[in-house]
Amino acid sequence: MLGRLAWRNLGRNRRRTGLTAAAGAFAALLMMLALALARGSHEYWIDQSVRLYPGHVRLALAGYEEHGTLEYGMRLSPALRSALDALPGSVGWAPRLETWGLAVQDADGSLGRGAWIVGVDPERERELTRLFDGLGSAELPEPGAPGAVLGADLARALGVRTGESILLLTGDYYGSQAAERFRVTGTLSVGDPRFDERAVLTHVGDMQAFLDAGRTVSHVVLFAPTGERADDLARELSASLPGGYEILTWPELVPDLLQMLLLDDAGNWLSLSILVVVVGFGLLNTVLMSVLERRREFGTLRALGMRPRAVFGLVLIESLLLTSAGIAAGLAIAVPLLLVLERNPIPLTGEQLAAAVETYHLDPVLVFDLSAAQLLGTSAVLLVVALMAALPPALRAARGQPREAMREPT
Amino acid sequence: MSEAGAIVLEAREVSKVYVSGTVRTRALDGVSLRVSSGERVALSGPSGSGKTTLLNLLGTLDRASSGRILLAGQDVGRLGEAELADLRLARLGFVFQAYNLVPVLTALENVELVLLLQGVRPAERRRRAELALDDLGLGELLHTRPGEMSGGQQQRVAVARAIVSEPEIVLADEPTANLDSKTAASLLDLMQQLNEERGVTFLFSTHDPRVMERALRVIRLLDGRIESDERRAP
Amino acid sequence: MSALFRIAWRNLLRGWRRSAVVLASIVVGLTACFGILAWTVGLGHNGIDLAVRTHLAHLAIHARGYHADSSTDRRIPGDGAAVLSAVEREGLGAAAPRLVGDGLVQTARRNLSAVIVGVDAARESRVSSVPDSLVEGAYLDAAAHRWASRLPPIVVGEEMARRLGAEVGDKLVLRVPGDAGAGAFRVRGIYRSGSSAFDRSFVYVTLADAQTLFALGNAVTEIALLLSDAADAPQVQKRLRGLLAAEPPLEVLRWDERQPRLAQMIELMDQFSWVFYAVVFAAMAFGIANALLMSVYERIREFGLLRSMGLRGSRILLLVLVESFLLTGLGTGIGLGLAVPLVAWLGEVGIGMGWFSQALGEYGFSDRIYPELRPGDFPEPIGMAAATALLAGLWPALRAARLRPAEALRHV
Ligand SMILES: Nc1ncnc2c1ncn2[C@@H]1O[C@H](COP(=O)(O)OP(=O)(O)OP(=O)(O)O)[C@@H](O)[C@H]1O
Ligand SMILES: [Mg+2]
Repeated sequence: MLGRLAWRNLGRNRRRTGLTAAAGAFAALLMMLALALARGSHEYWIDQSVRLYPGHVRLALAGYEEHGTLEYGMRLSPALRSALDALPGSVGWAPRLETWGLAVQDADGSLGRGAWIVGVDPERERELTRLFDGLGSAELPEPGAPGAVLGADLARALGVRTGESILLLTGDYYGSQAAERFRVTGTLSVGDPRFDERAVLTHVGDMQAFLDAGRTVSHVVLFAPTGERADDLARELSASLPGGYEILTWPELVPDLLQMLLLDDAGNWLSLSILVVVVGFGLLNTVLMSVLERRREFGTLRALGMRPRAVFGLVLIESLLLTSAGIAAGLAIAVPLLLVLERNPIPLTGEQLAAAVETYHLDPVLVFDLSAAQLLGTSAVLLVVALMAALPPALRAARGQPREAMREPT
Repeated sequence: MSEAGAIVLEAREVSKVYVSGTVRTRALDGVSLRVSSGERVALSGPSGSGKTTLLNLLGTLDRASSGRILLAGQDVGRLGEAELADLRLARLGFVFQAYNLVPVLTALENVELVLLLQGVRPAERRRRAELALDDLGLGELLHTRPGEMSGGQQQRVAVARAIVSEPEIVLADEPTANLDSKTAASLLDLMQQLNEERGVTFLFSTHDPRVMERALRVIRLLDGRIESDERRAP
Repeated sequence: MSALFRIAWRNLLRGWRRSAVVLASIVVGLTACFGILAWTVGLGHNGIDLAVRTHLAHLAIHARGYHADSSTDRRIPGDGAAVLSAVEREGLGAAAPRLVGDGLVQTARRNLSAVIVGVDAARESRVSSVPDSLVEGAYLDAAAHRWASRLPPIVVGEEMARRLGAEVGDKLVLRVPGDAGAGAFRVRGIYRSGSSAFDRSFVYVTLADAQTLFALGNAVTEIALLLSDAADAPQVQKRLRGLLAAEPPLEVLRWDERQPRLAQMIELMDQFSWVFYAVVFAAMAFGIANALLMSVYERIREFGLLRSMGLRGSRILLLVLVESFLLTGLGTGIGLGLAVPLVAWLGEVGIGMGWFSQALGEYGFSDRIYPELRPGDFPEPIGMAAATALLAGLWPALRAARLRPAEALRHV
């Protein structure tokens, strides 16, 4: 009956209740959308960037992360291959041989650019990463006839087209100068300047020959079925190998992206807290006004024998009910909306917007992910705010004097 | 309900001083009185003489500046707010000048509220509340909210609410002041009937001579002191 | 009108508790808005400052076509002396000549690609913070030339030194495209600019050594100009274009023309803060509307009385709107009064963002943000506050104005 009393009290001033609940619904809706957007986009971006190149787990020799140079290359022996093939938690692996060098325009030897030269196994990359997604199969470098796929911006800077050739210069595995001509078989544009402006992709076999590196590769990337399984895969991997290796998982491979997303989260939390505080003040006002209007009524309840604590509870229940109504309205809009948005990511069309997102090497698309935990969390946060906002008025009501009941009506 | 003739409520040398700003008002000045079970007492006196103040103190709605209030022999001055609430719930009933029904609850719910606070179970609660309202001729209005009732009807519901918990005494501050004379008379009939037939103890304040006529004892207040205390034969 | 204000003011005081709570929500919301805006502006400026101070400078002069196709083939002849003296004669700002080209840095078994910058050490330190950002060794000062060994000096970034495993005194080989090919250098100093992406790829040698390495005679590719006030860039750019018309074909570009993304990002941040404002102000509007509506309902009889005394509905509308504006205006005032000193203080001490230093460094920001507000940042939120006051006050005001006197007087 106290619940009924609280509920009916909300009906006393419909406009006030409606406006306050609407503010609650507004906050709930915005919070739910913002959090679903952050969650969806972050997961998407992480997945996209992990699947572009870094992989879920990277196997290399100890010291590779620190230096990243050829000197820390490892031998991809048949034993290691079969160990990699045998890993149950892996969906596949791909070897890479990376170095830095100069890509020089063949016709005019003075026009050159710093290049990130990477030997890959195109079949494996095609299966596991997004690296070659934009390329037709004919454009993949063939082993034996040294060919290379160039980052589109690099190709433009060098003024070379598909079919022409470039000269690659670097130091080989033993420290001697290496120079070799590669035929440009295609260009790639993945939206990340580290690739588009710098990358030269070639077949790992051609790369090993170019660098006189035998069976050496820089590292091997492995993929787990999902990002969450990366740790398990890393554990399996390290159990099946002798010491001297460096095994990193994707959070360590893309720390800058993760921090960026953390920063985004922090900004989200800050803005949402401010929204919640502002809405909380509105709630405080409504509950306070309703308590101040009902001094005589609370006095009567006290005179009839209601304890101060029960009066306190009554006011809290009113605030919780009011907020719950707002949350329910928020959910009623947010859930169907999110169900639609979840299936239909929104591409960012504004040129500036897209460019800015690309600054962070990210795909310009907004992805939403509905999560029950987030909806519950949002509701819980708002209910806590409802309790906190109701605290001062509830205290006031509980401290009200029973003699107010006798006060003559004005 | 206590045995007829037992002392229900007692005030000993009670004073009340209101301080607002620099102004001190001595609303009650050394008032002593005893109300016994089964009595029907009217508290009269001109406006400002201290009637409401005295009822507040006797009803434990406010605390005395000095002196003691004894409710069923227990000194209420030392009790905390929660204990006072329990005491009122168990022993006192109130009827207010402005009825003071909870506007969002129906007549039945208003009466049930007191039983709810007493922890009476729902079925029992409902039975007793319906009975109380029926007895007072309000059987038609069980599910009506106060806003849709006349003043007289509201005050009857208030009386039902006051007696449903079978208190030792019902305190009423000018219960008829907001009613027209016919309605007032019928309310007084009701209170007289409850007193005579069921032995409900009543203490009510009033300016109205017609109300005083219905009392078996009239206490006159003047400037916060008892001027006279007369018993009359029924 | 002043009577209207007085009445509105008294009404706000009459419901002082309600007014105070609404005021608090406006103050919190507004202070937070300004705080977040200031942080965003600070972050943007941090990125721009870092880029401008390390390498970009405010203005750069190149051979025409260099921006579209930055090749060492596009040169400014004669050490750029003619241009430099023109700039310096006019007192347009600090200028430094550079030869910028891509190359490869090699140690015995390691290769990293690099942007090789040949500089005039004395001039460079007037346009760039890199010479002052050494964490080890020394810059390419005059004494350093031919220092201790016959190898010319090179200054590299911390990130590159780490990857190469190189320390001060170690030998590095620079390889560049073209016939001259390569040259050996000795690490003279290691710098840390604040942007790890920058530190990973930019290396510095003397202008003369770079000219030898790239076999460019006495040519430079760029003259960088740092102004005392970034805002002057467009005017100085215009003057320079006039001044240099007589020279061989040159182009003069501002930093935001060379790095449009950086400038775009700031604009975008501004737009996002708009979204944030809109959300916060909408939330405030609910509170304001509610409070005014309550106060209108409490005063129905009073409005009835005013109406029956002959006050027109439009005056009552105005009265309630004035209350809304007073309340919002007061909140905005207090919010500004809190935010401005707060931002000024934070702008002095900065906000450490050490937690996010890897991400910030990778995207070209340093890890300390100095929040700031520009004069242009104030009109928008203040305008939005006014709009909020109007929108939130309108419903209650219309309610009050539409009351018929008879009906209102009957109200209890
Ligand atoms: N809360 C208060 N603060 C200050 N003075 C008060 C307060 N309540 C009552 N008084 C003063 O105490 C005196 C007694 O008041 P009380 O209300 O008890 O009189 P009353 O007999 O009930 O009068 P009425 O017939 O008008 O109801 C009056 O002078 C009144 O002004
Ligand atoms: Mg009185």
